[in-house]
Amino acid sequence: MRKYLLPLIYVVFAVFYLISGVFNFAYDRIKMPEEQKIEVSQLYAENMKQIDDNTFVATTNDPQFIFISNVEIHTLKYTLKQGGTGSKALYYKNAKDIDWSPNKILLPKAKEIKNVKYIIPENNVTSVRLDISGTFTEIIEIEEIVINYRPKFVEYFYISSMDFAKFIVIPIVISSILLYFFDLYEHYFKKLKNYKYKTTE
Amino acid sequence: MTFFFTLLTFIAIIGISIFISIKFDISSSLSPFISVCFEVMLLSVFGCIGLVRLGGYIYYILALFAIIYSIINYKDVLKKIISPGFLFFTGASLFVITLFSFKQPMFVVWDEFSFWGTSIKLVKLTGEMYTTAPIGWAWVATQKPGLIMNGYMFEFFGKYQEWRACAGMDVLLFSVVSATAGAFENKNWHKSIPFISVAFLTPFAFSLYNTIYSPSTVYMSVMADIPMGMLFAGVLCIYFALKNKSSSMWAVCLALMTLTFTKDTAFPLAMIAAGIICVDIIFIEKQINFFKIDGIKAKIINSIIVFASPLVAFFSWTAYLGSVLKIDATSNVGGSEQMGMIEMLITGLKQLLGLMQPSEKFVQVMGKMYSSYFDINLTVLGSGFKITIIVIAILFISFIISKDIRHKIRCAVFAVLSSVGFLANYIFIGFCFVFVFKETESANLMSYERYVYPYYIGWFLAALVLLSISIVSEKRRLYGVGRLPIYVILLIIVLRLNNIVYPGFSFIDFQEGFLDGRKIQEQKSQAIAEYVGNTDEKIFFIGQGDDGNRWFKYSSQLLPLQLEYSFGGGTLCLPSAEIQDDSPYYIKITPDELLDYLEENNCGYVFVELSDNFLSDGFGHLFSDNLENCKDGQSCLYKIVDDKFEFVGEVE
Repeated sequence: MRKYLLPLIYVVFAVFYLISGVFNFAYDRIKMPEEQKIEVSQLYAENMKQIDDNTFVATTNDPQFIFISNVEIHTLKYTLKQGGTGSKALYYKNAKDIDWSPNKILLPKAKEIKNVKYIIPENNVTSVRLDISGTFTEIIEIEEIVINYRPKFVEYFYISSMDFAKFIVIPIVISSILLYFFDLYEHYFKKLKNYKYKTTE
Repeated sequence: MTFFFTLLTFIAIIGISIFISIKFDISSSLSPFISVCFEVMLLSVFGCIGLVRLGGYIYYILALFAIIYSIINYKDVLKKIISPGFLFFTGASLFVITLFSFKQPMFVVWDEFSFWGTSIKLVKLTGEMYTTAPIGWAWVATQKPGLIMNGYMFEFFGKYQEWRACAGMDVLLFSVVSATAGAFENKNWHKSIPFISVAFLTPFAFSLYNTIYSPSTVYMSVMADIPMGMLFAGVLCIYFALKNKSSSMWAVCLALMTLTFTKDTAFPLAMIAAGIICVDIIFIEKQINFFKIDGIKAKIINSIIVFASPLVAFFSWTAYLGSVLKIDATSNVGGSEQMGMIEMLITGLKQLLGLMQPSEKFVQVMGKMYSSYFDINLTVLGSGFKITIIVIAILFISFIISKDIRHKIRCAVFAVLSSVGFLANYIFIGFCFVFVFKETESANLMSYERYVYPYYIGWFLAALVLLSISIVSEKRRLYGVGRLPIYVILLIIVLRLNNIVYPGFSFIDFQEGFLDGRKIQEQKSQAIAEYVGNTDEKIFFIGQGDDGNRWFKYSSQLLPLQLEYSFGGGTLCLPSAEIQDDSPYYIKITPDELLDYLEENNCGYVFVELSDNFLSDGFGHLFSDNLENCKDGQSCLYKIVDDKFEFVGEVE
């Protein structure tokens, strides 16, 4: 059992990863509302100034677009003509509870910064904050922002460098903890049982 | 291609590491650290005698022999080499080299441009030590060469790229992490996992304490503070974890020398480590030989060699500086009081012990040092006081659970000596704030955390290694007790770091966007290089409003082209100009004085990085385009022709 614990945990992780990808794909196909293109006028622009219909200039190092939707957001993608030095998305389940504390951050899986796609891993999300830029005075020109686009099947299985590192490390740590408990069990309880058997005999 | 060259350096380190492991019967968790120390010291020695490139080639040739030896003895290799530490070292290093070759992190910290990163680039470009290499301004580079040589090793073949030096630094740090698992046998691999995990997270845990809002530079930098703490830990780790100390004492000495060669402030740490090891050799270690000599004689000889190692490294570097730069590095520590090291210590101790009337600055700074120890949360585990409690608790548990009486004594003695060492180091840092730092810097204990946490890192990890040795020889009735605290510490660190380091802010998943400013500056530097070609003439820098930061960056980026000192940042105005915000960076100078200065300093070009009204109003007439091309924030290059600056082109 000890010998196979670590490979077993890796297998469980891999299976969970595959199943969750398939499940999310299926769930989105069934439950996801219609694809919707977001107009620039529907966005709240923070820390930036609008200089043209679709163009903004960052007035600090932390410019952001906030979008509060009337439908659930399952996926999101945006394309920029200009700018895009930042590419984080923060999402919130309920617009009323928005505190914008960044504890739910999504990073794009690909390195592309002008054409970014996100699959939101939770349900009932209705608000997002897009940190499209990270540079003061940067010009940001939006080509389009779309919510609930239909991702390809493989997009549900993309992993980032951090996901990869976690996938390697977490099973090792878990197996170490489990083996610690096995050690304790074998040392204290098995020995105790043996001792009882011996005394009864 | 640079990826493969970087990989080649790593393979060389691995080759020598395997050789050390099988030839000297040293655990393969410890050998990567010894291999890195060997690489650092070999290149440092060859660098000091002016043959740094030859040193690099010799290292690769030795690595080749080591690999051939390992292939011949492949049966021993397969038996000995697989260990948790070695697997971590190999896996983590390969991961980082691959990751960085894609994400290409760059230097972002001021000191990386003013010294730590620029030095590596200078050695790479000139093939000589950074102490003497031409840079274009009064470069007084007296810092120790160890980490620079490590960075240079990873840049040895192929094109200079900053990510390669960062990856090299990570390899060094991972070798120390690997050493923390040195006490465990392979069959107990699972016991080493929490130790490796905690050691890996220690640089984050001991340098971050609040939520960060931009990517952390931990594992993504060539700054010396964290490596210094890790190397301090590494020295103690290998000494405590080495099974055959008699035949492997050279490795401890090598590590002590490497620690001394990390940074000027590493010398006290090296002496403390050497002191602890000497006491251990004489009073605690059962038997230790020196070749065929044994008994107390061998113990004394080994102690003398160990204690002499950091001293030899320190005074060798001092002698080198004296011979090459004509600087006596021991006579004066510089700073506000211009005292020598000994004078500073004597004056400080007299004031501390009440034998001399303490100055107002002394009372203020030492008072603040005292309160900071309790009040400032400088790590995710809390203040310095809390770290001390944690370390002492770990050592107490190690003492309790071990069935080896000698190891119990070792834990107790280490607790006492390392606490005394901490106190001495802490007071020494306080003296530096009093006698070396300016009033403004010492009043706020500027960069206090950076000076203090290296000791905490080393102290904490050394205590963990003693705990790991206790776990290996734990009492049956206390079985499992020793592993509990390490899992608890791991849990606390993970939870705290999870709260303060958001996605996108660590070296694994940092958003490249935060480097965009640097990338633009790099592009501009390359554009200047294309305009200028090969020249001996210096480039004068004008960057209005710069506090020196942009100047340092361009000075580093433009190499081998030489950026002139440019009054430390090139922010110019006429003497008659009225500076409204009273900026301290403006240099008041007349156009004629500027022209004379440029001629005196062999400047052939003027690079206007950023213009403003003070520049265009006061000096516009000197420029052929009257600075018209720079009026909307563009950067432009000009060639100095007689008393005019001819427009060469826009730099973008």
